[in-house]
Amino acid sequence: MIVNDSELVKKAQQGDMHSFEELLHRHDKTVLNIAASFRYSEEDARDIYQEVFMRVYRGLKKFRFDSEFSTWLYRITTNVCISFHRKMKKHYADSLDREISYDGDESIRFSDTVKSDDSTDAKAVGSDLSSHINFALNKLPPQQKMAFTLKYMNGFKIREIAEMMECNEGTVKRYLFTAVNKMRNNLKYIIK
Amino acid sequence: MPVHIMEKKEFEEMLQLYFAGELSEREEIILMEYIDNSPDAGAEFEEMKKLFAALDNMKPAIDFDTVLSQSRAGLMRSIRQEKLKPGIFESLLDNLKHFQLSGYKLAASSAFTLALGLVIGYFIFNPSLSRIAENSRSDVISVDEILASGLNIGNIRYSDDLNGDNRITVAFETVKPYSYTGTYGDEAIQRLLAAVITRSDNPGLKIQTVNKLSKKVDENIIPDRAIKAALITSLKTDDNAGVRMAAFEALKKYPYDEELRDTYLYVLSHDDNSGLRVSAINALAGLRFEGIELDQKVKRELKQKTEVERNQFIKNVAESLLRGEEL
Repeated sequence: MIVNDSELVKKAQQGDMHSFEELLHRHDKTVLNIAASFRYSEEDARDIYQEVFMRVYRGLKKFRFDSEFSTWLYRITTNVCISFHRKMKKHYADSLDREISYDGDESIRFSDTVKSDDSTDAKAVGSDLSSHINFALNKLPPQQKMAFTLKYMNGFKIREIAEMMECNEGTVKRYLFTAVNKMRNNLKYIIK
Repeated sequence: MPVHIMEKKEFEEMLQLYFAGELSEREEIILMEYIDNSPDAGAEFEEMKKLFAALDNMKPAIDFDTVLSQSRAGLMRSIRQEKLKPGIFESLLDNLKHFQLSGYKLAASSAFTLALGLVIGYFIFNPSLSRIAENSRSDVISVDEILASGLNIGNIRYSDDLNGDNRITVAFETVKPYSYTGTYGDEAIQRLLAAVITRSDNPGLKIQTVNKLSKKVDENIIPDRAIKAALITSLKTDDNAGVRMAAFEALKKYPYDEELRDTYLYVLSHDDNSGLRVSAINALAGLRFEGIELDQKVKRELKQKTEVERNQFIKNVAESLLRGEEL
């Protein structure tokens, strides 16, 4: 007989570590997927995973079953990802349109270098496509990026994303539309 | 049927919802008819198709299974440390130490004076540390107090069985060198050894400790709760497969109970090292040889192994056990 999440949560709330581990193993792949798609580096994904489950461990006793355990868990995950993004913003400020300074005090936009180079080897661009996409993605504001990665990299429904991000579906749609338009604009010289 | 007329904004929204997989069947038909009848809409659709085809490239390039198992082990370590978290004064002291190192000279000397005052106050007012200091003067130590204080213990050495009386001396250093002698049945010795297994960063020392314990179990001196719990934690969370294997071998010598059953099942379903998974299933197979029936929980796990396990040996043994064959 498979024990449901609520039963495991109740046991874990009473200090049963086996139940906590069972919950962990049921849901941690999704958490890691969300973290990995949001941050890309293994180290960041590990840090996010750690922070999420430490919050769960510390907060489990206060969980009052107002929602599904998984909804609560993924809500924590999105919050941790977004605050992680803000914390690391400076580090990841690199974007497709950052200005590259040269010694002559002139600066050009990275996208202009791509645009002006019509002879760019299509293969080279293709092989580097994912890094361009990452640049463009990292340029999005955290909420838009979160909605975008949850939708297009993790396959959640708009309704589920709204629950996780604690906003209404209309807001999620707006995040997605804006994010897709920005991605499209930033990648227009790369994707032909 | 007349083609549905759309405003640009409505079309763009529907197009995005189409690629998001959020349109109903009827809405999809309406959108496709509109695209078929509008060259501009068709061009827009093709562009979006290219974008989403490119976005398929953006899957995160991480070694998922490795990161997952590392994250799980790291988390269990953090939870263990959380349970042994040092007091607020110790954290303050630690912060002050770092502050002192990074400031200017004047700030550093002020901070040093402040830190010194706090350290003195800390020793005076913190009952556990002051007791440790007091006890250390009289060469009587309380292992429990040292372990509970959260101080790092290092430079651990053993000398045991010199007189053949099953006594062991554990020498270690915290704020000063200590040594404690007792039998393997002594609770303080067990807690010290458990702390080495779970807290040490040195895999060699951990394996040495586990092997010592394992040898004692062979001699029918079975260390109890603290050691068993430490071995289980180590088996579930240690990064080093050698340490996990040593812990497994030691645990196998304990009398079989539900806790061991759950631990074997944990290894069987979660350890990424196939050698350990093989050991786990062999241990379960060995139980039948000892006349212990496999319960429903074990059978469920074995059934799952027959479906998802990649290692053919484990799969075969699981199938045989389920069929009730002797191995």
